[in-house]
Amino acid sequence: MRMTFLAVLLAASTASLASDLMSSPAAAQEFLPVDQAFELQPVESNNGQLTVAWRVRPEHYLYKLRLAFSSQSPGLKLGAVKLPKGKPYKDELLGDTEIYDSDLQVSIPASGSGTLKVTYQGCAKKGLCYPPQTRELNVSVAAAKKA
Amino acid sequence: MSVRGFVFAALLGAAGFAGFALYAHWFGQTGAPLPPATRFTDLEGKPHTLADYRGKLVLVNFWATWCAPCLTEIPLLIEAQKTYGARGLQVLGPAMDRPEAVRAYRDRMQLPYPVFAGDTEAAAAMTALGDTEGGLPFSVLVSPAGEVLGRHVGDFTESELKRLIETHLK
Repeated sequence: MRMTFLAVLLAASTASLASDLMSSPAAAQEFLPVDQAFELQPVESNNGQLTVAWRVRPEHYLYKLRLAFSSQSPGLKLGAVKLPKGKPYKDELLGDTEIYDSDLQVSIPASGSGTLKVTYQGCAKKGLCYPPQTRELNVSVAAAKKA
Repeated sequence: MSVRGFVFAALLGAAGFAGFALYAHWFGQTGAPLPPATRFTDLEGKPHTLADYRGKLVLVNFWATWCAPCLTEIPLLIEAQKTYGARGLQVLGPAMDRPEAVRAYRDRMQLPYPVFAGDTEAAAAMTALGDTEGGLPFSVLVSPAGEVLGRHVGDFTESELKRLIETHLK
């Protein structure tokens, strides 16, 4: 009888420990590779504008401050980029800042063709940050239609 | 063996297996040999390898000054080094970052453990040590004999870190 009681007690305490580990944040953490967390879409070109878009997975975000676009070719001219308003966010590192935690689309006035350099950085809300990412994309801008 | 004895043995075995499986799930695979080509450069430019720390329980914590959850976690690592250092724990902090940024942060926080810097080197070491996501923080626990005891992606909570260290410190 005593042996059975001990066995049940042991099993119960192990189950309790296991349950504790499983319910800890680390147990639930299954993080995505960066290109799945922030899926950069093919660049679209229309009416003198380039559109750069990301599919941002739930529970992930991109920093507005860490988005940058530049031309790497003399033949590609970029105008001023107006980033969409982000969601206010209090960050351990950056303080009060803005993030994008859902799909994002950025329009860039542009002309010509060449290499567009795109830089971005983001994190998973569960406690993981991805290194700054840089992609170089070949683009050709369709001229704006005349009215 | 009596029925009672059989039940006890079965329960003991099942409980032990469940505990191990759940721990392995939480902290990754265990007992893997250490990759030989894991190198780090300190802030004075001197090269180091994990073999330099044989005989200690080594917690390698990959971090960066641009990584908010890394900075949240660092006070826990400072405390862990101070509390368990005398019992054989050695925290190491290779940063995927610029040396000047790491030096400034090390001095400001008075980190009581060695830090290293270098984007390419840290990325290569992370991959060699079994990282698949490329995100930070990423931690690897290495036994005094030089075996990888486990991996942890993302930041630790205080209780997770304490339990992990106390489980492995003799």
